[in-house]
Amino acid sequence: MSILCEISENLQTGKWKIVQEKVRTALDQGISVDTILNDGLLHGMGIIGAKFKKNEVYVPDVLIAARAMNMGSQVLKPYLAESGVKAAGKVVLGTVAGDLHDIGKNLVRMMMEGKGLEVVDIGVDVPPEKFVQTAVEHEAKVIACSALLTTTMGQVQLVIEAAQKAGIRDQLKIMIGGAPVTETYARQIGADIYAPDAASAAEEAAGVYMAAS
Amino acid sequence: MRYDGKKKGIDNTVRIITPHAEQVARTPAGTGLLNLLDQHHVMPGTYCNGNGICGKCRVRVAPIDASGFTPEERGVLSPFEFKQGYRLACQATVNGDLTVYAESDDQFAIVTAGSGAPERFNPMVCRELLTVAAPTLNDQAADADRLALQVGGDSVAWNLQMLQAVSALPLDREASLTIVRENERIVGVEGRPLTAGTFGVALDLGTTTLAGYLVDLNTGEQAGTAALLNPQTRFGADVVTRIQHSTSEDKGLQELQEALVKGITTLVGQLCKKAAISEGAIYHLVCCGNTTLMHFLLGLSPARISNAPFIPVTTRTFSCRAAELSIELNPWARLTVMPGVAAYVGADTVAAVLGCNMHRLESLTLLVDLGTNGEMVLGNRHGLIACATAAGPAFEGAGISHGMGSCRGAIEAITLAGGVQYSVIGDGTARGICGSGLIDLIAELLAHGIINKSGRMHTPEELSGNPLQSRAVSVNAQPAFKVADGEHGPILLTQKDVRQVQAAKAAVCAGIHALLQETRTRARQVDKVFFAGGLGSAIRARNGARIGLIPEDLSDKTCSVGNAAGTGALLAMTDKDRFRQSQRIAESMAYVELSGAAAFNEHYIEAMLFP
Repeated sequence: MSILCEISENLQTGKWKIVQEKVRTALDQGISVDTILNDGLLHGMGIIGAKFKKNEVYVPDVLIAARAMNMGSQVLKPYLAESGVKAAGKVVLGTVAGDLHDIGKNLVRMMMEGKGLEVVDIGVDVPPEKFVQTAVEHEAKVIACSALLTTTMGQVQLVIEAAQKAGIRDQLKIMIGGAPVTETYARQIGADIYAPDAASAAEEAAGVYMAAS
Repeated sequence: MRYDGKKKGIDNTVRIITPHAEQVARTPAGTGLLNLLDQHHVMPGTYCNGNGICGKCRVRVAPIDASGFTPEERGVLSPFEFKQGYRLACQATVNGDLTVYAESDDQFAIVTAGSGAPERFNPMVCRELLTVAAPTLNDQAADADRLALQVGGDSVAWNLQMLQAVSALPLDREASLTIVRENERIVGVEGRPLTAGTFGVALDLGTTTLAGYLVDLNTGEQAGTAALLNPQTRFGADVVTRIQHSTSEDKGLQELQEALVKGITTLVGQLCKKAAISEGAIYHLVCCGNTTLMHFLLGLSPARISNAPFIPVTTRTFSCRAAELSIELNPWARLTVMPGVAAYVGADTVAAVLGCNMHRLESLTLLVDLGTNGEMVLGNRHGLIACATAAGPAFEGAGISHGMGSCRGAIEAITLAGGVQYSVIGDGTARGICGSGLIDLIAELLAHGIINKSGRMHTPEELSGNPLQSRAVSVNAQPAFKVADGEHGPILLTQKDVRQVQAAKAAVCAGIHALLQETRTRARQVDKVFFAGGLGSAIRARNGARIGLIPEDLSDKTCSVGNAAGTGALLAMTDKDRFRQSQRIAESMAYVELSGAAAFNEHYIEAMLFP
């Protein structure tokens, strides 16, 4: 099995120590940072994302895979800057005001990082203005809002309005997801993208940046 | 101007056919089908308040008209169902003459029996005979004062109704009256002597089920029990959906209050009929329920309950005349709302503690309600601590492809050893699986190698050599297990269903863990586990432990306390001292807020795996 394959396989089963070892080995073998990242780490997360979508793996599996990816990325970190490898794009992610649900949002973050995106996770119970401010600060083109209660879904509309008020609505794609959210609702309130699950959210966000490039 | 009554499409004939009845309705084109069914007392059930998500309102419509299908229906119904003419009632509108075939969830196997009965009898509300002396020239005390003199130390709640009632009494001579007493206050006065009975109803107002207990307040004897589905389920199966309705619709709060009051009125009516008494003989309603429901009862907006930081308007005990809430009983009838603790630990939890008596036991006790809101209390006479884990309605059938509540047709128990054997509520053909059956099933599938510890269901190919291999199937490219041949086709458990159960049981497990951690106790130090609620009386604890719902160390210490909340309301109604205890329970009970607690989240995720 190629070293990249080993990185991907071990990442999928959450064996982070082995992933770190193999990443170091790959670097020693002269494989480019870019390749190790994409064909090793992100490849493994991609498979996990696809399996998660089909319920073949579940939340705990995603978490341990994500941890292995982060540990593997840590080894690459010092080399990433000098090799000019950049994130595919930036996403501002948070759970809307009044809502403390964390896990779903975290899964979205892991899936997005698994697509090579840089995620600015601003946490839970986030007021609409903060989403917009953070997007401006980080020059992000995507705002992803998680709403896990029917009673907090309405907050997303406020985020859209805040973006309009700040004059940046046209420069952004606003994505919405969470258990009570539907495609119809997303359209009704003027969101750009509806993501039915974490893996789709990551695909859509990556798609925004691929289309732009 | 000539009015043409036969305007095109104005009145369509809809035949509504359910297993037990057939109705014919005439309604204008464009009427929502769910509304029409609701008007005709056919409730196919909706968890999501008609938003096209849960699929529980599916009905079969003939003739088939594909033009009206909405994207939501395409997302929920299968191609097979489309061909058969199934629609989601919440999405469909009447467009031409139709026939609708609907199932109505009736005859729930509702648990009303609690485990306790009042030993001491000292009711909060009672009636007494009173003789008021005639006035004379030497004693010109006003009617109100002569009456107050007779009741001695207790205070009279002089309000407009009382004054008007006194003015109508024959107090020009010595008079025999009946007074209505609530604790130490006189809250009513009647002219006729104490002949008709004095009754009270203890009510457990559950999100899904309303249960009532009729008690003779002269003797303390129970005079009947009854239960029915909470009419509010029309607006959603869970409190958050109902809260959303109350804030987003103009008359939302009013509709929810009216639906609840209607349910209470019907329930009390049933109790009265069974006991051959009139509603006029009811003088007290004692209500418990979760905090949101208590808000709906009193017409208080629960808007701030569902969003962080989760603040109720009040959790105090409250009492008023039942008539003020449009509940028509005796005009002097009182309504008492029992005290609660927090937005998500309500009067029902306090009543359940009272009902199972754990606040007076020396044994360290864990009380768990295995319903949607997953409330649990750990403690004993030395202290109590509670939390709510939002397990979700998986154990009540929601989100499970062939899940259902514990009513007729539900597979309630199942084993796989030596072939699939199961029992069905009502003994007829199986229609689906309820909570206790679901827990059994997952435990058995784990034991027989169909599901692995991470929750992945094996594909048929992976199960060669396994005697249950023939039951492993594939649905929508995901593995599933065929449980039984049901009334409308095979009853399956899908991979997705397993994930739903993992999430629900992880919440309960993590909640228990949080309480143990907070009190620095180990599972094995717990002496008793009380399961409250319907699922609680049916669950086999052994299987609960096998799937990791409860710690292994607790599996042989469990027992069911039935409807402990109902028992608690009954005890409070029939014994003033017990009512005061409920106030102390509410005041002293510690509450752990699990939302946003990092330790809880971590444990919750770990607990998703099977042991």
